[in-house]
Amino acid sequence: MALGTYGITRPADMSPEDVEIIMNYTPSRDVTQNFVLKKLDAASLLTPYFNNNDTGGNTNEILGGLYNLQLPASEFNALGIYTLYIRPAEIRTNITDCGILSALPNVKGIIVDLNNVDPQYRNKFVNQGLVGFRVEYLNEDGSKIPNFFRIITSSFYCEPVTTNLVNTQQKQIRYRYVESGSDLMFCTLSPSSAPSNKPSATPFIGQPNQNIIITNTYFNPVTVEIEMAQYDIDTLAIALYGNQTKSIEDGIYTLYDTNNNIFQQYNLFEVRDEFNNLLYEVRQNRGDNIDFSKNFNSIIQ
Amino acid sequence: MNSEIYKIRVSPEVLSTDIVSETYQTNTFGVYSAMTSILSGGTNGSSLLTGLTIDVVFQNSFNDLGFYTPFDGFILQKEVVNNFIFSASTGSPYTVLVYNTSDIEFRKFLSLSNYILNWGDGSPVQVLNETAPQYLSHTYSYAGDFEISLTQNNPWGTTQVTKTLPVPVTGATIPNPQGTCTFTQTGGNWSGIPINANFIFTGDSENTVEAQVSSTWTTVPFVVSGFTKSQITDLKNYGSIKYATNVPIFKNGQVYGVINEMSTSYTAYTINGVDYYDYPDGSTVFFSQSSGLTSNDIVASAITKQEVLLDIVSSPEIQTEIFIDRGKISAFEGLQRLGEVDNLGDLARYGYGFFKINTTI
Repeated sequence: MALGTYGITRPADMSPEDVEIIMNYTPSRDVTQNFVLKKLDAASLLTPYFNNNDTGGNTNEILGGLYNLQLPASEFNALGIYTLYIRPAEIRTNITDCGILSALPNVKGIIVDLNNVDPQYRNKFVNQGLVGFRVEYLNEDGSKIPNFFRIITSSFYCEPVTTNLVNTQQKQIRYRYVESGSDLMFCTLSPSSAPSNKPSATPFIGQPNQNIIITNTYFNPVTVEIEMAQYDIDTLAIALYGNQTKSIEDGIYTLYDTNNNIFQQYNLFEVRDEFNNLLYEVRQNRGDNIDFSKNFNSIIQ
Repeated sequence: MNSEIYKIRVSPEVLSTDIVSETYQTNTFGVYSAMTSILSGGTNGSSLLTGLTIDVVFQNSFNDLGFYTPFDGFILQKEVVNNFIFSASTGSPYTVLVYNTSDIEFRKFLSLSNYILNWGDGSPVQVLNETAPQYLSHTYSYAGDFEISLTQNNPWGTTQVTKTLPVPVTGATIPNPQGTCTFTQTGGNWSGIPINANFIFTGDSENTVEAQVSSTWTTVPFVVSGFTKSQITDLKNYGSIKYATNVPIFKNGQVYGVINEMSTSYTAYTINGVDYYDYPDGSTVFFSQSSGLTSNDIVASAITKQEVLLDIVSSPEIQTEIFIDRGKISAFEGLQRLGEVDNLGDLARYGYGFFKINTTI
């Protein structure tokens, strides 16, 4: 029986602070370049739902999975297609050192200096606060090593200690765990041990001073495509099935929705030549120049 | 990993904001505004749709394929984190001494384990957190085979080791059913603490550090070699002189590679510090220096065992999907497996401090 193929998806209950929202806007689907990506403030736009008496929980208990996303008016202000790419927040820092524990030299890990971490993410850098997070690595030229990552299996505050090697003349820096009061965090990664069939092939877990990206694994990325459209199929239904009036006196032709709200208004007129021969029958959209006297209820009362 | 995609169309029909209320001859009705007016009619061209929201469902996927431990490479056998031995004196065969021989380093690391000893005769359990040579003694009131168990409790679980003790204790055999080697006293008296005796050891493998690692490495970084596909064509893109030997080829201002030698036997070249040898049969051998860790990270890894078959226990379990990727590479347990200890020094070093080295009877 294949393990892990059932029930592998569950509602995520991450905090909005763990989320990044990247927005891309294009006025048309045939625009293929010059995309402008913009980062939105997920903490202010994303709101989790909470349980209530009807849902079986209490009001302090997050419902899980369901979030309300506000589309800010300052950004969504044009017709076109907005693509929101919602992904786990990225914590960018670098590896201070790769080391081993003083008492347990088998345990390898990377050491991260909290001073190199964005203050908004430092609350993750506590004992065991990074377990399950994913580490991705950057090359020296700033490019990311593709399709390569490690998983943090433990994170503890640590401090460097000097250890004697074979003799007292040779020393090395190792690390030991401390409860608090340190700006260094020792993170073990998986895999970090050599396979038995090639013990010399120590897995890569990073290099000192290498830039890395740490991301949470609380939820799967989500893409939301929002199209701000002038019309849609329902609008066409108004024109087809809604009430309509045509004023004989001034030629104003009005379309109404199902609640008799004025949807569109047109001028109907004819174009004739100098011999009064009819050349065209014209329907001209009045735009915002609505004649309110043509409201449906006033006409039929 | 699954990825959700939502597609939403916002048009005048789904917006109450789009309808402006008007009154004419006491009749109140709504009038649609153009969508463009709604979207840019606010301050500084912002949208009037200040309350536009959508609901999004977030999910988290995981594969329950196994577990890994926060202390990767530190998976231990149960007998390492929890073990004991017992003894008695020939003069008091009903009085049994039990020594906690659980691994000291491991306990020091976690500092959260406690050990409960059950004598197996209904008497109250006792705490045995001190390791050998400290001990607890108990005098049985009647003869029989008693199941002595030592239970280790830690925040991540409980392990228990049980051994059968025949009372009164006779002979000088320490049963060790969890391992594959037994210890048979060949002389001396079975009394006193600590016990001094001669033992015959039968190791089942060569388990020195050197035996467990590649003989090719002596320093760090060490040479890594293997087979790969030819990459000499990569060099064609850089440099004005192509396929010339000993001419550095630059990429982004840095030396990218060089062709070292071209002969009928092979073509040797270097790319990014990795030496490649292309042979006429199409195969390529590469040699490079290991990388990724500082020099003090390289520690000899012991043999790998199938953890499930060995009935090991581990430190905290975390559900993950990367167990297979990790490759069952327990690096630590092999060195501490009792059945593979083949000299007295290993016994003392790996937690069985009960025995004294260089002691004769």
